[in-house]
Amino acid sequence: MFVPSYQFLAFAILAAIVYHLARVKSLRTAVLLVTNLLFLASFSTAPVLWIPFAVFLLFGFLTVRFLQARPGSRLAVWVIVTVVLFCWIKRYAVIPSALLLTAPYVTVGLSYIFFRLMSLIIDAGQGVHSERLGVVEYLNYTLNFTCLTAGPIQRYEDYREARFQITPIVLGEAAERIISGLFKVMIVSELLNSWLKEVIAALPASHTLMEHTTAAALLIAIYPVYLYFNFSGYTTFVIGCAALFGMRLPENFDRPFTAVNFLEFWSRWHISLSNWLKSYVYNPLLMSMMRRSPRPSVVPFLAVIAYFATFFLVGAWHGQSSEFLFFGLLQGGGVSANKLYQVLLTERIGRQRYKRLAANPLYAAICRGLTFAWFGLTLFWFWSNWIQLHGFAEQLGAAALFAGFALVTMVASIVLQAALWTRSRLEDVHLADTQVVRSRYVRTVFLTAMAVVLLISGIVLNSPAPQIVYKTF
Amino acid sequence: MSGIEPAPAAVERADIDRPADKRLSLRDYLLLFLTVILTLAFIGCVSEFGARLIWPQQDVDQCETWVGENVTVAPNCRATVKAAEGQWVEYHYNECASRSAASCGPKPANALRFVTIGTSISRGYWVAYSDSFSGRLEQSLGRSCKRPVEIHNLSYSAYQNRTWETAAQQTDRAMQLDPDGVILVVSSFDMLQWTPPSSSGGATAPAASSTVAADFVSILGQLRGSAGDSRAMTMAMHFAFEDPDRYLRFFIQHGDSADYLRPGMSPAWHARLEMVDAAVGKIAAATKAAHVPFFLLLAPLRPGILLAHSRAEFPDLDPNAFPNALAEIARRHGAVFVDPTHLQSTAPNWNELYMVADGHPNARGHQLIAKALQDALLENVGALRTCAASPAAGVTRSASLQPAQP
Repeated sequence: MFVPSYQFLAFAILAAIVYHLARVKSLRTAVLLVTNLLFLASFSTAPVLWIPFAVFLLFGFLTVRFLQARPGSRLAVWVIVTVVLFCWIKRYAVIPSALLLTAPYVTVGLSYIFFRLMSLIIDAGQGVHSERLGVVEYLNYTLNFTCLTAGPIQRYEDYREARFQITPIVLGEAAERIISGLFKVMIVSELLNSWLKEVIAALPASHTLMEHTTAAALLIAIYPVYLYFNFSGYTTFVIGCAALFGMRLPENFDRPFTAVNFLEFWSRWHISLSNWLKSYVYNPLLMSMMRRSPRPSVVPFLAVIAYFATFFLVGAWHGQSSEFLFFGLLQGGGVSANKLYQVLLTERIGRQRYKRLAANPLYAAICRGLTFAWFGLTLFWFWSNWIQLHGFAEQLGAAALFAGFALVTMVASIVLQAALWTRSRLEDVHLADTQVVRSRYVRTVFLTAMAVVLLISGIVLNSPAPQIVYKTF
Repeated sequence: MSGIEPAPAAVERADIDRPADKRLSLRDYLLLFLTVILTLAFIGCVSEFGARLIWPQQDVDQCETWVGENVTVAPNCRATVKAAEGQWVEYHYNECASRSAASCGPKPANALRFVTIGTSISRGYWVAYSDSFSGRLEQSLGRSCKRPVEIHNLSYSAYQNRTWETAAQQTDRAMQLDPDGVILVVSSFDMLQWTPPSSSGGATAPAASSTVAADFVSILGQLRGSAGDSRAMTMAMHFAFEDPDRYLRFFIQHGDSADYLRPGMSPAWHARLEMVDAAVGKIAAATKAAHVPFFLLLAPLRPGILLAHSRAEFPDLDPNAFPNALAEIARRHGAVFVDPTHLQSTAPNWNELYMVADGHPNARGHQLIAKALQDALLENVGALRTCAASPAAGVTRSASLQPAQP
């Protein structure tokens, strides 16, 4: 079952109705489990294809239970074993191909299950979980169908506590989430994807440096915007679907392109992943290094190293091939270079002057544009393979790529600044005590418009394509 | 600044994160409902008004009178029509109610006269007569042969269950015109209008008909049907399906109407081909008795052209299945088969030959049909063999034509 889709939405609504009809907590837990398993079954009903997936889940459960019974016992070993098992099942390039399973099997959502499982294992090993984890609760947490395929990543404590009561307002807000999520994915990101395809298709026809520069700029700029609408639309949609069950999922995006540096960018993009890595990679790594080198003058540089390691993992986690390792290097390199620049500049000009510089609107606008352009450039290794990358480089040439990068930086600086200014002006408009743009009536107008566009596109694209419309003949 | 600290203001966060302590009054519910209704009305009116302003349409042919599924056309009548996606054009019907520049009286001395039997494409629906394949042929053959060439269209409605009986019934009228050639124009859409009694429609459609998704799709289909006359919807369809890949992928999902593109074809399409076979047999018998060459012209539609162009991407489909079946029928009855598919699918403007939402060929599409038909006529009509092919009216002789010989 594709997420987001109308099919998934119908499934979620049906499951939510059954869930709320069950008044007893244990019954609701059972409904949730059945829903999660039915969602998995929509990918494959052949039990044999689920064996590695089930083994991973079983291993995780037994490990958590073992560590809950004996907190602290060789936690690092269990973490390493879990990582290796995950990499083996996901067929990461770091595992020798001779060791990999050759038969096909299902790995849907395994990357996100991995994060949930790791947090369970580490927390259990550190004695965070006092309650013994039941098998049903474990399965409902790790297999939560609303966020199985692409997150957001939620820690177990948050999952347990993030419940609220369903009211008409909550349902309205869930509908708002669902419609705007579908609109972002099905309309906006689809249009951007078509545009990107057109740009790629037109590459052979571009000959002059100006045409190459424009093409390079579009290739750098379109994909991050597409990815934003695609992924944030998905997240918005699943947050709305989870709300139908009274479950709160964490936010994943916070206007990432308004970030003035790459460090801030990653606190606004895929937030649940950043937060997870902060808790389980960055903080422990930095603490460990600080224990070894506790001199205060060294600590900022240790943070640079910790940032590199953390964001290298962010990039590398996205895929199994060598392109993603390079993507990880670019993410880690970008973040650590950004941190190093901050450290060195602060040392050179002083904290106050650095703060004043960072607050300068022109400086912030240029940094914003540069952040966007850098992210767009690094994404080449996310959506292309080496052969395609070689093709782009050959067709466009280094000069056009460099000029395209500069053009994106300049245009993004202006456009993003203009967008921020417009937003702030709109937010200033008040009626009585309410911001007009946030009033439920204005939101309803926008949502209705989005729903109409979705409906029309659904009607057009899901009915027979036109052939001959004989109006009167 | 710590890079992975959560951002201070999570502005994309909706009210789901806040405690559900707010209540709506009845007044709020009513106002919200009214807001939705007014927004819908506003969007509907503005988009429809805008679409009608940008793409006006006159689809009522004032010369036509419909009685049930049959249409009669007033003789010596003129009508002005326009497809939403097309240009304003004038239809002129002669004294025999045929869309032709020539009179249907006795054939003038030295003139060559051809009769086409077919439905809308044959009549040049939505295009100026000079842009239709008939008009182009009259011009180009007239110039190259240096003698008058007339083409008379005996058109009938495709919207009937007796399409092919009606087609065969036109034979007597055609022969009364003393033609030098008779052309039966066949399109897959004409054939689709006849549903075999035992046919289950889209039996071979790959869609999972029992799923929730399929039910939803059918609801959407009904909605689309009810919004069929909306110009905004026509516009939406035009832009949604301009992309050939998207068009083809959606088209092939819809069972019976797309089954003629599948290798082997469905039983329903075999039954339809039998109907065409019978009609072709009757016309062929009459033309053979009068020693008049008979042509079976396939009027391709956009799906077939797109498929022929990008065949490799759709290995489960066969763009030649339908043309081959018609070629076999033509061969069996001694007719010359004319297939413009290759000319259209290899043309530089292959994706611009049809009106996307309406489906009829535009002037460019007619030009290539004319080119294919001209080659066949020059090849097979004795009186035309001495004519040099003329590039006039945008029609040049094609080397790619291979008529099916008896």
